[in-house]
Amino acid sequence: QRGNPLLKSILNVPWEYEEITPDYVMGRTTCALFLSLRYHNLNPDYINERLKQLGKQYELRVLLVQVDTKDPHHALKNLTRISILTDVTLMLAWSAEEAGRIIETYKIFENKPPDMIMEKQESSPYQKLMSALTTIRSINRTDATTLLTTFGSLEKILRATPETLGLCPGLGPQKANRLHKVLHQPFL
Amino acid sequence: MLEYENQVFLDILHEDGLLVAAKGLGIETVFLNLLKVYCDPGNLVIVVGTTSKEEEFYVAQLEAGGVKPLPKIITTEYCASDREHVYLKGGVLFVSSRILVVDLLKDRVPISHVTGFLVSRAHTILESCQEAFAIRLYRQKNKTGFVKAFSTSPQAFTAGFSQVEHIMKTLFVRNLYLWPRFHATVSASLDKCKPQVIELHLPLTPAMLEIQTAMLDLMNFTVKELKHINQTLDTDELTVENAVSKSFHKILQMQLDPIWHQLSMKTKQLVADLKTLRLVLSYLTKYDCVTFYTLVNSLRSTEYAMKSSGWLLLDAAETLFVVSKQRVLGTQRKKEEDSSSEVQPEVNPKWEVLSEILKEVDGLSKQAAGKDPSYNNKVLVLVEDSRTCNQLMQYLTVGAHDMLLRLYEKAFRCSLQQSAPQSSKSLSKSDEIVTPEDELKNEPENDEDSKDSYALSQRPKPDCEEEDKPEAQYEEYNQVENEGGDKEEPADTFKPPVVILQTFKKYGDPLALPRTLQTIKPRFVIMYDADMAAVRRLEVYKSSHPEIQLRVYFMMFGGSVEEQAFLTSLRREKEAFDFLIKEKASMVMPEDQDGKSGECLELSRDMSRPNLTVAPTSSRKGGTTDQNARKPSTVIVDMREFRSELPALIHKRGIEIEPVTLQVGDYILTPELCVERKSVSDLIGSLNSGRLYNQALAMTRHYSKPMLLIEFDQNKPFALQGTYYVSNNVTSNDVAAKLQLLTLNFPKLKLVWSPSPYATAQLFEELKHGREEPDAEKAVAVGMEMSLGQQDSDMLEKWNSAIHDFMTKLPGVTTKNQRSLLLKGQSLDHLLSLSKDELVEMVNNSSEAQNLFDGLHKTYHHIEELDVGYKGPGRGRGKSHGPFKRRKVYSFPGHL
Repeated sequence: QRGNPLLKSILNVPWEYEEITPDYVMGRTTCALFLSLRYHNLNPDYINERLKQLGKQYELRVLLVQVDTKDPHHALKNLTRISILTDVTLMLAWSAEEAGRIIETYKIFENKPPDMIMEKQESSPYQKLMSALTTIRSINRTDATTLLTTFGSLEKILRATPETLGLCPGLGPQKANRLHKVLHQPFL
Repeated sequence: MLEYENQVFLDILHEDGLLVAAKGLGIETVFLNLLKVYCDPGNLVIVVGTTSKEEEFYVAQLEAGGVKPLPKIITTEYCASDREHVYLKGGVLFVSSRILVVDLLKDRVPISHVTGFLVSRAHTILESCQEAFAIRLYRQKNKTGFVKAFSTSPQAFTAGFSQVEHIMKTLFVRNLYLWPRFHATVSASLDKCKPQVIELHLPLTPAMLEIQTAMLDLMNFTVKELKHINQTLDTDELTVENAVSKSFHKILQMQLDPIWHQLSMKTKQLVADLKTLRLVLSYLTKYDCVTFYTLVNSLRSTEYAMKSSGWLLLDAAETLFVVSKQRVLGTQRKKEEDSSSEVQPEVNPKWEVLSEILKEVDGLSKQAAGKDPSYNNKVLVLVEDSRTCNQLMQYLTVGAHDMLLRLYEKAFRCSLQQSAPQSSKSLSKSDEIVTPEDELKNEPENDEDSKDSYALSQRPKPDCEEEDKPEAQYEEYNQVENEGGDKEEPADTFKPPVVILQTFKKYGDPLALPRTLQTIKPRFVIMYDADMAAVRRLEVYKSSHPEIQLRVYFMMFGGSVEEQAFLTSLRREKEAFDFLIKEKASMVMPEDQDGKSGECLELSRDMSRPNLTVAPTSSRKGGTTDQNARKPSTVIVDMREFRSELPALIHKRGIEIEPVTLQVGDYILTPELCVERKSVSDLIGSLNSGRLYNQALAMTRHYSKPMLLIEFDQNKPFALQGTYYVSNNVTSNDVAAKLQLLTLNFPKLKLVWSPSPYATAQLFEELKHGREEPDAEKAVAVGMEMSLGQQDSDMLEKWNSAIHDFMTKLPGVTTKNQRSLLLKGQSLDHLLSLSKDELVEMVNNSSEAQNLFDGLHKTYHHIEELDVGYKGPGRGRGKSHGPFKRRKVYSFPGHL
């Protein structure tokens, strides 16, 4: 990838040349192949060759495609099919800068937890308990409130038998059983 | 029915077609009669595209006409089996198109027995693809039924390239009926008995004229600027004359939409400014001077000046401010003479004329009442919106001056108090009576208005601004008109005329006016504002009730923008019709377009290709037919997805569609392949809200090949444009970064970038090529039940998903520590038995462990406690941790 203009836009992380199978390696489990659509139109077999070499080596294999032709749809359709068949993730960039930025971001996010794209966490413990209870299917917000008010704490809920759970208004024996089952599942 | 209505009715009854009529010509009478014809258990007629108001209206009218059985309105309230029953019963059915599509696909509708389709609002059929889909499904299996479509919006057909033909093609109709107002039959039958019309052209007051000139200057400037910056725009339509009319923004948006991302901030601002200016201009003639002044003042704030495109700096803007102020406060000279009353608001000339007319009506009806005691002396005043309505009512009850004063006081109360001591001094230079804070307070809804416009929302603007306010309900305000009490006649036989104020469109219901006309049968109508459709309604009303001596007063400011706007709307409609007439003459209609005669290109579904996939195998097997050969390929589609165009397109490609309610994913192509479709705006929204994360999580859990389909609008450029895709700082919330984070967390999730629904449909077909068919029942079951016993071994999730979800939501559990917690924690029961210190050891963080421990053992029972603070005092249970908790309780009161 020596001389690829996208390297110029990788500013926020250090990078170096190395002998590797993919074009870029952003982390222990992440790698990327770079493909410009214009090049792909000239050498359609190139990318197949590269993908074959790459095999299944990394957990996340990104195919970074720079859209630099006027009418990209047909080529993109092909690439989509290839990417689905070979299990790679297709990312599009519309310029070299964008492509560089994407590589860079993968590196930066390497160890980042997905909090940013997850739902906002409730801050208060009560709300958290509520939302925890409602993750169980068939338990809605009203049920969660009832449970918390009748039993008081999670501990008491956990210690309760399915029969006592079922006595709560709104919770039939089926729901209670299900709740009990989930709560006492082993983690692993 | 009137002569022309009869003609229209017969035309449409005999031949299928698309009927386009001018606004206000009473097409609903025709529609109603059609319904009457088909209201019979032997028929099954399905009506789509009506609004709920219209449905109510039609049903009520038919009920009044004693028609049986009445049409039924099918909404989500009916369950599936009930609907099937209703379809079999026949009659006329109003069906919401989404339900209809699903039922058609599920074969709940006895398609071959459907007598026909009535499509209201035909001009929207291209946008709302469901109706089109429904009609296509119907046409495929039923070659004999009819399709009759109606529309009252000729302008909508002129937009775009050969729009009419396209719409007619989707409707499968061959005939186009045009009924403009200038159609010979229409004008003949309406001219037979014309209402007595008195046109009153009021002159604008000098101040108003001055303001108007200034405003036009400003708009001229803005439009010129807009043209200057965007030279690529089609500038024919961009004139000040057009800018005055309501539809201008629709046109502008249509032109700008494809390139909206590429526009500079300045252009967007100009567009927004034009909108604001138009609003101001319409306020000039509609409302009183005080309302106008407050509006203008709200624009004057420095904040707005910073944002706006610079029209505020022009001379004309200064004139606008000064004159509008003078209108409220009176001119300088006057004030010096009469210093006792500071405010001398100018009265809207229309008001004076209105009271004059009312007096005249009063006199007339008194005369008439002398001869005939049962004389109907109702007066209907038609106004544009509820706000005017409200104002007029106040005016008639309170009188002009008092009302204006009251308004003035309401608007400027604070400023009056502040400036009262020095007002006498500052009269000469009283430019700054209104403090900036007041300006901000005044008219908050106008601020919102201008803010809205920046975003260029693609939603249609509501007809009236304040429809939701309770004041809008003055329709039946029967108010006895007595100005100063001097007109109270002691005579027993005479009732003073009842004045009824009514807006053109109440709650956006275009049928409100004919209904009122029918119920109260007014003798006098005063058109306070001009509206094309309302004028025609009156004509129709008069023609259908020739016995009523209708007298119409038509009020308008001569030479004002109001007149201009009215004339422009007339002209535009006429042009649209002219265009359609020409189009109709040159239109090429394939013989088979109605889809009745066997093969029709539009209907052919490209069945060949999916079948090819199984062809080679079946030939070998000889007699034993392959299971797959008989089973057409299917895609399972979520019910909610029927709002988009994609299902229709997939169906067109020859793939069967199975509509079900899916918990996970939108489309299931094969048993392993599940697709979540996101439009660009959806994508951004759900990335931000975290919904996409959950969806992705669910998909990866249940399917081995989850796909995220990012679908672009085909009319917009194929790119996540400019600034919001990639921004400069990496920690920011830009879309690409979030998308990448998603791919990092779900390496199995495939991204598919599709430029348009057409491409998507094609892609789906290719993906299905030679794969197993999905099982609808299984797909529905996914995510529905607890997959406890049947945990698939190939699912890569290490832990039991249900309890995993539960744990991540617990207090003190973060994405960082959940892993170690789940690995070491064994189960909740085990966690419960652990002491706090052991928890600390497990999660390596004392505060998180504390939170978790509290969450497990503490009692939280009051919602109120939440508001108090993060760790409100909870009754502790564990004895050993008592001191710790008590300390917390004491440390917090300071914050409360």
